[in-house]
This record gives sequence, structure tokens and C-alpha cells, in this order.
Amino acid sequence: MTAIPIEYPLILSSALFSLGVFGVITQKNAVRILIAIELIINAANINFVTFASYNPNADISGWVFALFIIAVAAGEAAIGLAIFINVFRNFGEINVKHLFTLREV
Amino acid sequence: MESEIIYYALGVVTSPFIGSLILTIFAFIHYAKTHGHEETEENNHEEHEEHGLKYTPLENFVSTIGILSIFASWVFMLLLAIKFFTTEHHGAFLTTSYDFFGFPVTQNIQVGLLVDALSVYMGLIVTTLALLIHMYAREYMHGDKGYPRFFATFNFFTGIMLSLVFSSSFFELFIFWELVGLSSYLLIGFWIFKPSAAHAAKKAFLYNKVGDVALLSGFLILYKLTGTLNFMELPDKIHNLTPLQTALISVLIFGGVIGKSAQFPLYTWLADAMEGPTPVSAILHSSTMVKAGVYMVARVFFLYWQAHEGEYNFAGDNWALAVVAWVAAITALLAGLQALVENEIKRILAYSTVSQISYMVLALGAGSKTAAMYHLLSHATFKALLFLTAGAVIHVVHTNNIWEMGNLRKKIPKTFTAMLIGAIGLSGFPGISGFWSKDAVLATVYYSDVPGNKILFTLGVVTAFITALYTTRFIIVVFFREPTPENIERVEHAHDGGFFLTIPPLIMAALVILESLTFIPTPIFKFEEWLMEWLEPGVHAHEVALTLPILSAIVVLLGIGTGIYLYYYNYNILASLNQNKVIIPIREFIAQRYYIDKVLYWIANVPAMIVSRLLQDIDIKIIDRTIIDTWIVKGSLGLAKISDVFDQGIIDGIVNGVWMIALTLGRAFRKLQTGIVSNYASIFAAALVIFLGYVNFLIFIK
Repeated sequence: MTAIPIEYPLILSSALFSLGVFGVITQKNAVRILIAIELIINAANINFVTFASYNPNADISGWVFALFIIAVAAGEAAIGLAIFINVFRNFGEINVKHLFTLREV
Repeated sequence: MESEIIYYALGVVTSPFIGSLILTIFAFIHYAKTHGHEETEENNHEEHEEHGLKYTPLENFVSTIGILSIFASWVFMLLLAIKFFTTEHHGAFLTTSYDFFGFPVTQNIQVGLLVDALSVYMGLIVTTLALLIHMYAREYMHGDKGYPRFFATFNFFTGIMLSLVFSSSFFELFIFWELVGLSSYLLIGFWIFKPSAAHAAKKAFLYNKVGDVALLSGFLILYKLTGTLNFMELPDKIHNLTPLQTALISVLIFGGVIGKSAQFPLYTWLADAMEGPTPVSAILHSSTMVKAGVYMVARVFFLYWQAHEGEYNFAGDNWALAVVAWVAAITALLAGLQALVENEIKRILAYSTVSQISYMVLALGAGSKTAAMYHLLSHATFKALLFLTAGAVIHVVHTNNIWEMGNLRKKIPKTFTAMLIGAIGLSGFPGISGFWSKDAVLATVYYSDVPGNKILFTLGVVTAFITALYTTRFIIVVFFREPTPENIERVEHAHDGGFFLTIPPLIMAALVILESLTFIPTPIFKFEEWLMEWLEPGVHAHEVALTLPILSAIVVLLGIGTGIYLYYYNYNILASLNQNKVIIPIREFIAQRYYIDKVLYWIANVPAMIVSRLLQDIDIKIIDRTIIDTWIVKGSLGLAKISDVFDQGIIDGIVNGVWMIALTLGRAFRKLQTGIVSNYASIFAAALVIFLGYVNFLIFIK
């Protein structure tokens, strides 16, 4: 059985990461940014899993980390959405370009 | 035998000191207790009953201690004198001499007690008079706030004077010489609240110091040249000196005598010293302390005259002796004239003292230790007596001026008797003590080799006339003349003082009479020859022609006669003389003390003023204007400017720069903080890209 070369999953994760970064930078809607962050997290996850699979020592710590990251990402998404709901209640919108009240005038 | 004499001498010297120590401690305790009651002119003399004198317990204690310690000293002195004069041995006894500290510099400088005929003779005079005068002071100082202080100082003086007399080396003598000066200062200024007394004390001290500098340099040169200061060793070492050296040293040492024994030109302090209490005047400033100079010259007589086969020769160049003799003769005349115009009784006696001491110095200069010590004895007795009686007179009439007294002979008969005897002694009345001793002095001068001896003799005779005249003057004015109307009341209330105010003078009067009887030369006993045998063994006396005593007697009688005529019988002549245009300026000139004080003041003052003016000019012109104004002021101004620039430009610049940089940077960086999440994310992403690019670059290089 010919193994999938390691470059493929790494290229996939790189692409996902780049997409995520692009999304974080360009998107104005906060929910979209949150989705882009999920992409970045998943890109990292793929990296963990990939390196764990190709590790000749059969170390499972990479997989364990992937599981942790999934759990944390779920919590993060929940908290982020809760913040956005509150932001929407206060400002009437969630466009991040308009949310600059922390800036010095 | 010898050890006994030394123990007696120690007793003589230490007894007064022990008394003084007790009294000093007592005085300190007393003044500490009465703290706050300081002596002032107002509260000094407590009111006391004129009759029925009552001593306070304090006064009883103090005077008893004072008199007892002097009495012990006197007893020791008598024992010593009896022991000494009954030995066959005519030489000197010396205690073990102790090296002074034993520094290399003070090599062969020793302290000890020297007992010889001279010191025993002088010690007898000092202790006897001190005892009588201490007794007198017990009543005289009654009621004075400073009673313990007075007796403490008085005893101290007596101890110092006796130590001076028994000194065995020049070094030791100088220490006590300075200390009698100190006690003189303390006692003249005894009434510390009187500015005049303080001034007189200061004056006496300073005038003495001038002489002491000469004395000090004199004996230091002597020490340098001979290597010893011991009186016992000096006579043998003196032969190595050249005549000029000896003459120089003897004149310098005579400088000390000019100060201490009140010779011209430093004699005016003695008259001012009369500001002190009368007992002080009686013992310090007439009979003992001022004789210290005469005593010292007699002690180092070998520096002036050297005995050679029974005849005296000049020890050094003869001008040294001429200086001594001429200074003495001039002082005798000047002071005698001054006593003639003075009005205060104690000052008359003070000038008289100066004049009489000059006789002694004249005798020393003319080459007779015996004549000087002879006159010293008779003068000490009658002058102390005159001072004590003068003090008694002042005590009862409360004035110093003889013209405010008068006709006192019936009011105070005891004092009058005593004073009359003293005055007869002073005037040189034929047959009385002063006559014999003065005659010895005049004979010495007449037969002396000293330059100008005939003129000196004439001056001495003239002074004898003046002495008789002023003595008659004050006796007549005080005791015989009718008092002026405004003073009658003062004189009416006068009466003799108590026991201690009258008995010591009467004892002294008895002593004067006793001396007179002793001095009369008889075929069996001639006092002068006896004294000469002890003081100057191996020297022959001159055969004195009979004309000299007769001349002296005529002159004295003439003086007394003139005095009685002028002041008692024919006062109008004197009054018209006083109005005479020629007499007034002369009289004024004498009364102003020949302007000696002014000249001395000028001498001391003018060079000091010139030097200080010069220094002031240097100070103002050079130091102030040039150095300070120009260099220092300008220099510091420049420095200040530089540091101002530095401060303003650099220090402030740094501080300002710091805040400006912070402000500018803050303003710049604030722009970055947009608050927009996307911007932060973009920057973060860019930074990440750059960082990864950099890492990759590094890997690539490798």
C-alpha cells in the first residue's frame, strides 16, 4: 500500500490556513470572521493529525491534541457567538469596521 | 644641721600655700552657695556699726586660717634664721635640685630651695610684714563681699613671694616672678566692679610684661652661653663670657627690674596700682613685690660687679652699670618730684616708693649689695607702716585726697603716732632708720667707679631733700593744718579704728624704732658691717668720710624745715607760688607724669596704627579690589555663565528631549491603534509572514 505523500495533507492544511487568514482580514461580518477562525483551527488540527500519523514512533500525542483542539474550538465558538449576540443587542449590528469604541478618539 | 635648715625652708614656703589652698576651696564653695549675689559697688560694703566691730563667722574663719598659715610661715622663718645665723658656715645651703621634667631641652635646668644669707634676710622681711599686714587686713576688709577671695589671693601671693625669694635657679625665679605679677594683677583688680581698678590691673600687668620680655631674653642668652641657670653654678661660669656679653645680659636682666620694680620709664603703673585695697598696696606695691627686682639683681650681682681681692670691678663693660645707675637716679628724682605735686595720699606714697626703690637700684648699680639690702629693710618697714596708717586714715575719713583731711592728730592719736614715726623714717631724719640706710647708699655712690658718680651723688642728695619735703608736706596737711570749712564735719567724726587697724601699725612703728637703734653704728656693733660680712664675704667697706652723713643730715633738715615753713607757717607763699606763671606749666608737666604714659602709648600705638593702616590698604586695594573684585568675582561669574549654559542647554535639553520624544512617539503610535479588529489581524498576519519569511531565509542560507 502506497502511503499518501505527506505533502498533500500539509498543502491542504496550508491552503485552509491561508483561506482562514484571508477571511479574518477581509470579512466585515463578525460571524464570518468566526468561521474563518474555525478554518485556521482546523488547518492546525490537520497538521497535528498528519504529523502524528507519519510519526514512526507511533506517538499518539498529536491525536490527543487534535481532540483537545476540537473541544476548545467548540467552546470558543460558543463564547464568540454569545459575545456577538450581546454586541448586536448593544449596537444593532455586528460589522467590525464600525466597532471601534476602544480606540482613543 | 643642714637638713633641719632645709625642712624649715620648706615649711616657710609651703605654709602660705596650704592656707591659700584651704581658702580657695572654701571660697569656691562659698561663692557657689551665694550664687546670684554678685559683688557690685552698691552691695559691696555692708553697713556695719562703727563701734563694736562684729566679725561674721565667715570672716572669723577665713582670717584665722589666713593669719595662722602666715604665722606658721613666720615661725619657721624665725627658726630658720636663728639656725642659719648661728652657724659658723657663711655659705649657702641648697636643697636637692630636681631636674625640671628632664626634657633634653631643659638640661641642667633645676628647681630647688636656695638658703643663703640673702634669701634668709629677704624671707625675714617678707614673712614679718606679711604677718602684720594679714592681721591688719582682717579688720580692714571687714564687711567686704570678697573677704574669702581676698585672703585666698593674699596668702597665695605670700607663698609665691617666698618661693621667689628661695628660688635656686633663674628658671625657677622667672616662674615665680611671673606668678607675683599674676597675684599683683588679681589684687590690684580686687574690686572687680570698679572700671578704674580693672584698668590699673591691666596696666600693671602689661607694663610688667614689657620688662619681663627683656628679662626672659637676658637669661636665655645667659643659658645659651653658659649652659646653666643655677645661681650656685653661675658665678664660676661667668668668667668665660666677654665683657660685652656680660654687659648685654646684665642690661637685659635689668629690663625686668624696670618693669617689676617700677623704674623709669615703666614706673607709672605703680601709682595706678593704688586702686587695690590698702593691705595690698602695703605689701605688694611697697615692701615686697616691687623689691623683687632689687632682690634679683642682688642675687645675680656677679653679673654686674665682680669681687677681686676685696675690691669690686666691673663684670662687663662699664656702660651696663651706667645704664642701671643712671636710670635709677633719674627715676628717683622724677618720682620724688611727682610725689610733691600729687594729692592722693596713697599715690604720694606710691611715688615715694618708686623713688626709694631707685635708691636701692642706684646702690646696686654703684656696686654695693649691702647698701641696697640695707635700704630695702628700712624702707620695707617704714613704707608698709605708712601704707597701713594711710589706709587707716582713709578708712576713717572716707577720702583719698589729703586736702580734704586736716587736723587729724587729736582725732586718731594712735594712727598719728604710728604714721609720724614712719614719716620720720622715710624723710631720713638724722638718727632714724631711713637716714642710716640712705646714707649708706649715698656713700656707695660717692666712692663708686660708675661713670658720672659725682652727678649721681648730687641727684641722690637732691632727691633726699625732695623726700624730706614731700614727707613733711603730707604729714602737715593731713594732721596739722586746719581743715577747710566743707570738710570739718568729715574730720569731726573721725576716730581710731579697732584693734587690728591700730596694733599692727604700732608694732611696725616699734620695729622702725628698733631698727633705728640697731642701725646706730657703735664701736661694738655696726649693722652695716655685720650685713656686709654675711652678704658679701671678703669685700671691704670704704672708709666713709664724716662729711657725707653731715651733709645728708643738713639736707634732710633743710627739706623738713622748708616743708614746715611752706605748708604750715607761711601757706601764702605757696599759694602765690601756685599762681606763678612759670610754676604752673612745670607743675602741670609733673602732674601729667611727664607725659610718660602718653609717650609710651604713642610708642605702642603709632607703629601699630601705621602697620595696621598699611595692612588695611593692602587689604582694601590689593585683596579686595584686585584679587576678589577682579579675579574671583569675574572668574566665578564666567563659571556661573558656563554652568548656566550647560544647565539650560544640556541638562534641560535632555529632560525636554525625553518628554518630547515620548510625546511624538506616542502621537505617532496612537494612530496605529484604530480599534478595528481587522487592522490588528492584518498587522498580525503581516508580522507572521515577515517572521516566517525571515526564518525561511535563515534556513535557506544554511
